[in-house]
Amino acid sequence: MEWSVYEEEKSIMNEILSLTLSSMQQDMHRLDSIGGNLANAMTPGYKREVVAAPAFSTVFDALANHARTSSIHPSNIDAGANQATLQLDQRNGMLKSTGQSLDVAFASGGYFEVTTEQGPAYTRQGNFRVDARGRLVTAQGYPVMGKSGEIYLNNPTPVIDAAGNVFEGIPVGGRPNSEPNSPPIAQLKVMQFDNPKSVQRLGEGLVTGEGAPSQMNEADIQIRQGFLENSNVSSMHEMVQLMQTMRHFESMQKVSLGYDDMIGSAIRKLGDMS
Amino acid sequence: MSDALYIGATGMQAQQLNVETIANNLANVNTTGFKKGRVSFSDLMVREAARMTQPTSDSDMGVLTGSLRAGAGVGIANLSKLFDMGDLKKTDSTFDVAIQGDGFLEVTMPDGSRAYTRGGTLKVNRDGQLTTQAGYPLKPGIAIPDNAQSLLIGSDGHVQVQIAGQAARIEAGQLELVRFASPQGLLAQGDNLYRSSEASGEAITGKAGEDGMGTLAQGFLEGSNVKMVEEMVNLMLAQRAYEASAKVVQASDDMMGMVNALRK
Repeated sequence: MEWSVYEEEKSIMNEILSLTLSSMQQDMHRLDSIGGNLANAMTPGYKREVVAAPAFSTVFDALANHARTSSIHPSNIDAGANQATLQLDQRNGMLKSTGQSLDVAFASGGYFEVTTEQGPAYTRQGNFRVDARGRLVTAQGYPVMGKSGEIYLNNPTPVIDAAGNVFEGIPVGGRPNSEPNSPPIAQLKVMQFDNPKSVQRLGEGLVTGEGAPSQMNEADIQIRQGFLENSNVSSMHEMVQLMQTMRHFESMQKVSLGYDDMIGSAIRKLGDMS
Repeated sequence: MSDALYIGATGMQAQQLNVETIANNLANVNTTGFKKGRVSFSDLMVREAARMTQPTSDSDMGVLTGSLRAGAGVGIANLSKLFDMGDLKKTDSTFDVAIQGDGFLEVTMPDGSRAYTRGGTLKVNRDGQLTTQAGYPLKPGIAIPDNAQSLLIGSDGHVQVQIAGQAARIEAGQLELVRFASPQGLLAQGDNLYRSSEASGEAITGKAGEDGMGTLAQGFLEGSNVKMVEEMVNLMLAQRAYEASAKVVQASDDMMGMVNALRK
């Protein structure tokens, strides 16, 4: 009997400390996200990362269900708080004019398809270039896919229209905006995900999602040549979040300290009584 | 523990390179034939995608494994030169040559290798060869006779000289232009010279004005393609982005301080 009282006391003690611990841990993850967002404030096509913690009631219900079958263990609380998910803010960034003919941006939804060693990946980062073989590649060197495979260019100044048709053969030195007079040599492959919430970053501007993406309806594609999509990070927003996170972390630290004090004085008082 | 510290550091590093590139562009705003540099950023990741979609299971003591790890900050995708045309400035000097449109002049370096230039002020060296300002002979070599009075470079690259006492001009040679599949891949050598690299592909030789080559313009110099306003705006943005990353580093340091203060 004595044993079980001791057990209970210990578990309550750990519970408060582990609660503060897990929420401090979460603040640290939040800071990682904020740091990543701010570091990528100038990365074209970057989408803001948001840490979405599950609502307390969800965690509580899950724990309550769990408690019916087994005793509450501090690690369950930690696991619950840790199930926060990362989501990407899919809003479009502002388009920035660069005047480069190989810079393309989406004024609509959609992703370009590129080929990597691990298979197809998708990107909105449109600062393309031409490699030594005349292929259209991303800034990192992954080939950009057209509807009929890789795109080979004869000169690095093609004209790309809103639907992603790539034209060549305009007179050299001619106005880049002049109406292309030859049929397109390729069309950029524009894909979309059925479940935009499942889109996850792979690094290097690439993303992937759940399930196979489908080709986007041509009428909905709006590609702008000579533009890049800015990242959708707002530094004001991130700074406010940074402040909030820091203060929350600080108050959790104070709770831990206060609790530690309380336990300390309790131990001293109980010691005096003997 | 302190991923944010490293993430902030990648941000500061990237922006520092950005500021350096912008500073170099601004310093060369009046350099003949200068091509501006541009840094392309991309996000970095450390974690494989497969784990990201699987939530930590209950049995996993997930709290300390850092299962939320995602971005690792920012990296440099590439640092490239942008070869859009600068404005042509009329100088009326016989020895000034610019290329209007795509193309480079080939020059022979002292060690026999090739380099490429967008033109500039030429001169005639002791041996009577047409060279760049720095003294590297053009290729194919063009010999200018000692008694030449004037030099005429046609838009197609024909070089003609007028010799004292003769009515007709005589042919001195033919300048050729080269171009590259991917000029962004060229390596800048300073002195307005570029070398080919694996990324740029081999030089494709051709005649001025044909097959997409530009034409030669005598009496003109190509200004730099740096746009002052654009660079100033980029400089401001880069500085602020640097500052923001520095704040993250500071915050992350503060946080670690608080963690250490947990134990009095």
